[in-house]
Amino acid sequence: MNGPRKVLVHVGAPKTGTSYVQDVLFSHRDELAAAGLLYPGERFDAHFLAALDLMELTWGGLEREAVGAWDRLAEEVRAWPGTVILSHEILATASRSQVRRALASLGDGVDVHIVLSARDLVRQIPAEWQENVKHRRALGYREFLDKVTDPQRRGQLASWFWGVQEVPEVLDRWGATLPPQQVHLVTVPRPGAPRDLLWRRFASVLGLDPAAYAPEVERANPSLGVPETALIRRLNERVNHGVLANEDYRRFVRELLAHRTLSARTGSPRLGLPPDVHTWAADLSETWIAALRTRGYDVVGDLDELRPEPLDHPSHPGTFADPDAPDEADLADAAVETVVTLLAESARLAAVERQLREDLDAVHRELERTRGLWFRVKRRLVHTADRNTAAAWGLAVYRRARGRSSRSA
Amino acid sequence: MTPAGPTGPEAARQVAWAWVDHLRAGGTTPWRDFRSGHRTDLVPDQAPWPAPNRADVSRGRLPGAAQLELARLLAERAAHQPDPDPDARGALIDRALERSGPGRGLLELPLDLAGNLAGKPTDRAGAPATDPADVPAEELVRVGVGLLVAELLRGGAQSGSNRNRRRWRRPFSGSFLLGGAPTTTAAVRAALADAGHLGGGRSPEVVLLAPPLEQMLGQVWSARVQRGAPVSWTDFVGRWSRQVALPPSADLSALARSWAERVGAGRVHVVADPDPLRTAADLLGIRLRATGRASTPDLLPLPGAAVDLLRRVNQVLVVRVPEDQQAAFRRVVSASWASGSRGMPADADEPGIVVPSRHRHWVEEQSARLVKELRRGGYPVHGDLDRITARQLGPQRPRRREVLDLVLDVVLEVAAATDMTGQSEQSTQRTSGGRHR
Repeated sequence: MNGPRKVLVHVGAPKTGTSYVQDVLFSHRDELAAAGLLYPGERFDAHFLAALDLMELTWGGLEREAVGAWDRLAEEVRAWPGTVILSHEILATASRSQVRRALASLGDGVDVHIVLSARDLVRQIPAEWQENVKHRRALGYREFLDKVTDPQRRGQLASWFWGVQEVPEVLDRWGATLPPQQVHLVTVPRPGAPRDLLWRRFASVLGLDPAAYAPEVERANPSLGVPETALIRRLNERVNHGVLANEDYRRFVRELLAHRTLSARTGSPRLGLPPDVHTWAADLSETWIAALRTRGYDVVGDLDELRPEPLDHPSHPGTFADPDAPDEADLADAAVETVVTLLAESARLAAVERQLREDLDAVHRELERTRGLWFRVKRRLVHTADRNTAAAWGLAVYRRARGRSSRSA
Repeated sequence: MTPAGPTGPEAARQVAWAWVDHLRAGGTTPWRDFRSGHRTDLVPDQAPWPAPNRADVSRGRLPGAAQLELARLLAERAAHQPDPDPDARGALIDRALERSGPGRGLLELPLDLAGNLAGKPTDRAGAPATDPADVPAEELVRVGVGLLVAELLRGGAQSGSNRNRRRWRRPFSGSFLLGGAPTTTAAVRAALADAGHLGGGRSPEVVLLAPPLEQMLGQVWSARVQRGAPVSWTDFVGRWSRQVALPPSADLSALARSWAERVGAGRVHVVADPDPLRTAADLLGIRLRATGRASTPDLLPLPGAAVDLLRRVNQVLVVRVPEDQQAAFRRVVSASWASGSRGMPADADEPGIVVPSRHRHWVEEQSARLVKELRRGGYPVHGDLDRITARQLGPQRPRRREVLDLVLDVVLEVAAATDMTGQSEQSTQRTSGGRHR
């Protein structure tokens, strides 16, 4: 590939189709590489681990696998002669000095482009709370809204939320040293837009043929209804604090219950914003849109798509369903479904366990057959020595005579 | 004083940069005083979303309020140190201004340029403008821990820094085994080893050291943190109290029962005495002599603030350093405290923090159970078992201000040690270069 090397850094935001893009890029990385475009990393979460490393973030134990991950990724970037794409949504919250370190590590003379995908706040705020709930938080919805709308932004939750969602600020942190035409803002289409429109927008920024790299499987990050989210939140209150380890929570609560069971339920009321917060979010969005218009960034889509639909718009979920006071009958239905799912999973795991026991017994039997009488005599002696001093003394003499006391009898 | 010059946001930024230079030169004046000493007619940038300022880019952006306050506090503390090296100190201040906090915390807080925004809700988007003096101590600790880890990594791991000399077993020394409160046990074990009694052996006398349960829990927390755990005191206590159980090394009745099954109850001694070393030595028939070469125990008796600092350092080390190298960096931090320059001596009650009041019932129940079961077990008791239930005095969590003071001290110490090593290496290179010439 001729011309300067180019690195596209897709920094977020969460809940804007980032998993979808990452899935397409990872599943087509060989074809992309053949076309001169690198999506680095051997494993799917390589960019996530690199982001943890860059920002020194702990993440339920996964950070242990992140040591040196950014430098490894950056090394791959520097070694590639063509275009490279990096993508993870938590990069949005990187501080200015972390951004400096990240950009410097990509090498000299590199044409860096920043890509941020953004969706209107009225859809983002409930989605972030759901994401919090799926990451073990037991915080109520109103409490979450109060923290997010507090102008002082006290505490980690508000800091994180605005760190990844405040579009003008994220672009300022990542794009401050770049010409504005190298900062790309991809807006997420409104509900009802063609299903592939967002992908086509991403593809145009990333320089891909949208038809050639259509996703094989959609790795959706599905949303939950109001009673389903309320159920997971109540579960969190009971399984946190040592009841479920992080890896078990990820496997059973987030993947099995939230993603594979509860998100498939249809007909539950969807989560929206209460009218007061809706108005506040709409006002704030106007200041964002006005600010972004002056920046000269490359907008892929339309800044107007960051303006929330009004409360009386047909796409609005209608009457606000409060997840802090859910319909208990709906919640009980969801709970019964989770019990059924967990029973089925328990039965499946019990069958696996039975099979493993049978396999283990067979191995033991085979082992017994291969060991002779002398082994059984020695083993009995060792067991006897645990209780009998004379036998223990005899065993010690034997081991000393044999000269290798560490070898198991 | 109202010098002539630009007014408005640009002038405010100029004053702020002058303050940054003041800090770099070792100045310690708080922002509020510095600002009022320069101009009083400054106004903040009123635009809710100011366009990225290219002038800022040319000099770099103004550091955040937390970084600025941390730098000022470092300068303040360094001013009390003997023979400061202005260049090294300036370089450290630069690194402090550049370092963002690790992990989750507040967004980088912009400096409140005009002094009329701090603490008030504004309609300006972005993180609230903040006077550095108003940055929460928790945030200063977070940023300080980030700097500390950076300094540790700059210095590199000190291999084998706490390696004790080889100990020799005295002939005919008895077999014994110590258990119970982890840091007390480590200290007693080290002292007995210095006297030539290494413990172990078949059918040992078992000595369980039993300080008040609350203190023992603090020691278990300290031990776990010294081995790499990132858990806070409140989370640690909360986790165990919800399980209605004690950590295994604090559950003395279970330990005693388990050993009694192997060696007999008569050989399991419970030491509930304020001087565990003397009592343990007496009951084992060991004469302690001051050798003048005291070994460092495997676990140090750290106060709560030092343990809290170490667990925060662990949180960063786990994502920055391979697991097998983390212990060396931890040793630098705990040894820095143990060098005794902190002015917070470890006392008999270390780590000196108490169980939060919401878990009071749990700790009282558990200590009463321990006393009852140990009495019922018929083990020889040295001291008063009721001491286990004694209520401790102290804060319910490490005081953030103390943790902050400690971060500042350890940063200065680690930075100075690294600079000194660098200087001596340079000097060695110069000397050897001269010889070659």
